[in-house]
Amino acid sequence: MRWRGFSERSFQRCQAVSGYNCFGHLWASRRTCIPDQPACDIVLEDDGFRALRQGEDVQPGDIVLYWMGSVGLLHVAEVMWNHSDEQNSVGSNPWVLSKLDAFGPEIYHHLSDTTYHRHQAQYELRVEIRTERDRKSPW
Amino acid sequence: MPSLEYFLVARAFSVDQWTNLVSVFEIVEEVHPPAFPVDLPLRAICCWNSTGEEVGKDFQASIVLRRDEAVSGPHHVNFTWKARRHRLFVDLNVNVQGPGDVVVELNLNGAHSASHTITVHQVATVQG
Amino acid sequence: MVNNPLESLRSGEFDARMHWASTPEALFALLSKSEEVRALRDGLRQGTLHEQDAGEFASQLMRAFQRGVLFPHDLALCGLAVALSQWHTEFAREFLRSVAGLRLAEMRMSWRVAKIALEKRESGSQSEYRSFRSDSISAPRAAFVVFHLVGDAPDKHRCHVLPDSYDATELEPCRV
Repeated sequence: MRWRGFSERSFQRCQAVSGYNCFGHLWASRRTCIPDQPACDIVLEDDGFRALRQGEDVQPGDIVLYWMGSVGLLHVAEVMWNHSDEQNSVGSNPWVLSKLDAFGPEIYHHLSDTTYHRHQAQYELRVEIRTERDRKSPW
Repeated sequence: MPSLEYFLVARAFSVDQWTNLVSVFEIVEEVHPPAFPVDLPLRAICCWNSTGEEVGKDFQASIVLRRDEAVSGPHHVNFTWKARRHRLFVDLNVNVQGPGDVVVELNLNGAHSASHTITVHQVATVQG
Repeated sequence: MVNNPLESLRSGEFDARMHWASTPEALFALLSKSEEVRALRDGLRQGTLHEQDAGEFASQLMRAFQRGVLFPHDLALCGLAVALSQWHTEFAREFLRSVAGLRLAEMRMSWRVAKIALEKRESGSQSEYRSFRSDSISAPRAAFVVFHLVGDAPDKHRCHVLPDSYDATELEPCRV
């Protein structure tokens, strides 16, 4: 089942459901919406999310942040799988799980399979992958 | 209490619907009527700046016109404060009976805000 | 994009792009940058789109509202609200207040986006028009719109609200 705006290879994990947005999907176990960017900034800092280092592979559990010009943080998604194909080397072809706004479905799609990637310059889109895999136990 | 940004009496004004900017045309400082009494269609234009606490509250602006001992008003305008700055544009038909300074006073909730003076000159007579 | 700027708010393509915004603030910003909302704003400024058209369009959208069912035209209503957020007329203000006041569970973002639009307007200036008429002290003035060219660019228009030249005898005279 393919949701509008995504390519043929994407698929819809679940039907449209309300109660949580993309931030709530990632950081609140699908229990609530996280309402604004300042709240996300707190989570990103508290959980120790950092940018990938040069040569560091994307791994499942990493997150993808979609930034847009004056909009700020538009969307976040979770890396579910990173598999190679004949055009890309291993570790550079991430697939993510996205929750679309607070009322849409969850879609499994390639990181760059978005309407905005197709018009990247127009929308000033910037995609950033972060990880918190260095997280240390507090005790 | 909000502070008054400007108070003018003019012949016309416009508010740009796109930029919300006000333009004022022909501020009336003096008139030379051909005869008395004379009707002066004028607009009182004023703007108050609030701290934000006034939004949603009711206010009363009053306009009083004086020329020597003659007084017209107060003419009340009741309004609810809606935004950071509240503008009021009031159409007036000032009927002047004779020469002198016509003082247009603006009050807000009974307190004096500002005045605008219009000098009404004597009717010019031709001497021959 | 479809030719009618209002109808473009109901297109699947518009929906697909706006679904990415997860917060009302992000959606407001995204809509402000969208070609659909820009076309609406241009239409209002140039006079090719009238407030009456926008009002009728909104009424059409609301006919699809059903209790207990997610409102299908929520993003279209958001787009209209953002387009009107920079249109300084009584119609626009009342429209945004109406939508912001809905607060229905069936309406996802529209009342939230309208609320943001209102907050942006309330940080600016609000105009009120009055006249002292013989029959009524506080009747609001009618206003008409004047278009004129700005500079040499024929496609640039400015809309002004000018009080129409009124018959002063209709007003209660202030005798001094």
